[in-house]
Amino acid sequence: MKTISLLKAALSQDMNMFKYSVKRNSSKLKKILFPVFLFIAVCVSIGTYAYMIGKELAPYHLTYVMLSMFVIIVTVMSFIEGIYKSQGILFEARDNDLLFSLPIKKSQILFVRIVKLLLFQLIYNFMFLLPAFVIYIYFEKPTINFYISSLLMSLLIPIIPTVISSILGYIIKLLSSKFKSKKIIQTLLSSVVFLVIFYLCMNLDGFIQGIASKATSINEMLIKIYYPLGLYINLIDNFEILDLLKLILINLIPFGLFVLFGSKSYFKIISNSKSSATKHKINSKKKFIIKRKPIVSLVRKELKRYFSSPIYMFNTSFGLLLCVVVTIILCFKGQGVFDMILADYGVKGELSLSIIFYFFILFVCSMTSITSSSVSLEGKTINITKSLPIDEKTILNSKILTCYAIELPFILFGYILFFIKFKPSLLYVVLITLLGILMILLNACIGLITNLKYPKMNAMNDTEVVKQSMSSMISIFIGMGIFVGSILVVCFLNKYLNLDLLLILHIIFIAIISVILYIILMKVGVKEYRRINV
Amino acid sequence: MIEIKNVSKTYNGEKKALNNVSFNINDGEIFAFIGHNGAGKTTMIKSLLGILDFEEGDILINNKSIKENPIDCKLDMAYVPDNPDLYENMSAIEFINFVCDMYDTPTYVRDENIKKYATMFELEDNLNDDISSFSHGMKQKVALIAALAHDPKVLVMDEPFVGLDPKAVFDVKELMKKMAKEGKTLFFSTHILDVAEKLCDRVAIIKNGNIVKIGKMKDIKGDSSLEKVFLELGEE
Repeated sequence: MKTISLLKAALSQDMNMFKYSVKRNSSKLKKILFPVFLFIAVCVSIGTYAYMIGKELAPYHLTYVMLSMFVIIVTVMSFIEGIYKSQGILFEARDNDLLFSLPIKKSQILFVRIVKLLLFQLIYNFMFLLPAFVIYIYFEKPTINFYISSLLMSLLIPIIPTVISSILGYIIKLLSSKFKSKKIIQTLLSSVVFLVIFYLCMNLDGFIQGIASKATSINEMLIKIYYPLGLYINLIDNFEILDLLKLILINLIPFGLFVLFGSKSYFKIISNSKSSATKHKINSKKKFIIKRKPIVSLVRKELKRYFSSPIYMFNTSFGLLLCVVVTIILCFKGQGVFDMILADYGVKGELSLSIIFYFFILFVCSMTSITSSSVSLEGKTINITKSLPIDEKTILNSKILTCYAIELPFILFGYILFFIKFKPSLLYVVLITLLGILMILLNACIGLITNLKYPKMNAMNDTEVVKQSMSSMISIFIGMGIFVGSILVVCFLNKYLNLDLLLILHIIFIAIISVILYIILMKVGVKEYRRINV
Repeated sequence: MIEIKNVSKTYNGEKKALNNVSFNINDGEIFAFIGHNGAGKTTMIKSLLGILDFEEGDILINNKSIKENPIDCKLDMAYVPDNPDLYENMSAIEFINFVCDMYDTPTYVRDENIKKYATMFELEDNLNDDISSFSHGMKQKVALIAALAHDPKVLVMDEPFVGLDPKAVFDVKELMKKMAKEGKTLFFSTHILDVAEKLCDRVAIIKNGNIVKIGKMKDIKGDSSLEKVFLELGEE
């Protein structure tokens, strides 16, 4: 009963994100229309991709390979998302004091928090799996076995990756709680784990080829790649109760074991990570009374907030780190790096390095959404900010400037290396510089507008805001849309127009949207900011 | 001076948190706002500070409308929130400096005031510590120093005595009396009726968004105690 009550309390908080009463206020109807539209758009895009693969495989009755691909994709996604979220959800919740003071077992608290992690993953996964299932049904007209197995598999998929990522998160938190500078160590360790995963993903091809050469059938290969996947594919064709039991137990046993053993030191880690702050005393004589301009002070405040949250930093800096790493590799290894990556995606032929780098920068900027959480992360402190004699435009501008302060150094570093090594034309230098500047503005405006439309001011921890809020999801999808849309349009128009002209037009287009969104932000956003009541 | 004129505020188009509320608070006056939980005290304070929009009426701070001229109004005011949710990632001195920057307080003024109030609240040794390491009372003290550091003309406080130690409560009360003597306006909400009774020039009792009683302390309580009057009004 206690666990159910805990679950209800935890999930009611999360589900507020999807709960909109449309009766009393018609604007709430508008609020829900956009996410629904976005959800459908993503499902349709993924469905189209699944259809393209399924169409090739269906004549040979190999459509299940397409299904396997999607299962692997969501498994990897669940794992990566778990790495991002586990530390925040498991250890940095604001209700720690409250829950640990209640007569509840630690294992119950840990269980509820892992369920929270799983629930959001299920929603994300559903967006990828639903189109794949529909396409499979369309081509294969499967029996009831498929529906039962797929429903079960959809529920089970995130369990193993979430448990593994939670174990990693647990170890990172355990290690970092032993240091004085816990947050820095936590961010560093998380980055190392993430880079290792990234490296392994890049080398997955060799691993799969190794397995494929030894396997006698595709099914055997799938089982060797990921055992639960092989069981699932078996169940679709030959529904055997033993396989079903194996599939359930193989997922639930690690989950149960983690809750059982993880709860042993759970309280200790949380209290250790808290104790740091009280010991953190600096020389009492070192006081700084410095007068700054309000906008400078606001940007400093935003930066301090950014650097105080490992999940916020970690979530938004991946694209920026990628920019630096890829540019360095590019300078040493030349165009071959991009050709190799693009060949993996089936893109071959003579693509100019400049155009690839241009779109790479577009990708990096589109994927870095800092402002989509910045209003929500203010939480109750928004009342302090709102009570100060500063107009809302200055506050919003300070959030945009913070994006420049964080993103620009990484992008400029990439630019300088690229310009020195490849000596592009002056026009290109101007265009790509403008691209970086404009894209930061555009993405900052998109993030702020969505965050003001969908604020989450009472979140239990930063992870809920950064990873599980409507605004961060929408911003990332819009960013992806801008990136993919830009590529498609440029590729299409390339037949009719000169590439330089196309890039100029692209920049003009980005500039126009940025200015329009900035104006909207300064008019509508200001009102929305004023309306937030915590 | 604060002039509250026919202010009404509704939440979600349904619940009326403030219903046609009107009253004035003069310069040099200490004014307390008392009422049960959910009576509308915090809504009134947030509306007064420009944190919350209200549908009807207006609020004037030194003859300037909070609706039309919010920045000028806020420049005259300082706010101490009920639950000191401060910027936890900053140190106390960084937070106080941040607030002073927003008010464009000259360096010598903030330097003098920070020293004065940090000594008064025995916080001078903790100014460089992270706010996240502070107790509730210490955070309340930081909020008070930040509010006082820029010499506000109007001080608005939501439950200022909650979490403070007895010495700090005494110091805040003395400070409020001193500020009132200097002609400043002090407006605060409280549940501690004893404090209201001994400290305030005037008091207003709010119930379900309506002002049910307002006036000088002796007029409101007569021969009875404020606590008795408050409880009787609650039962009506």
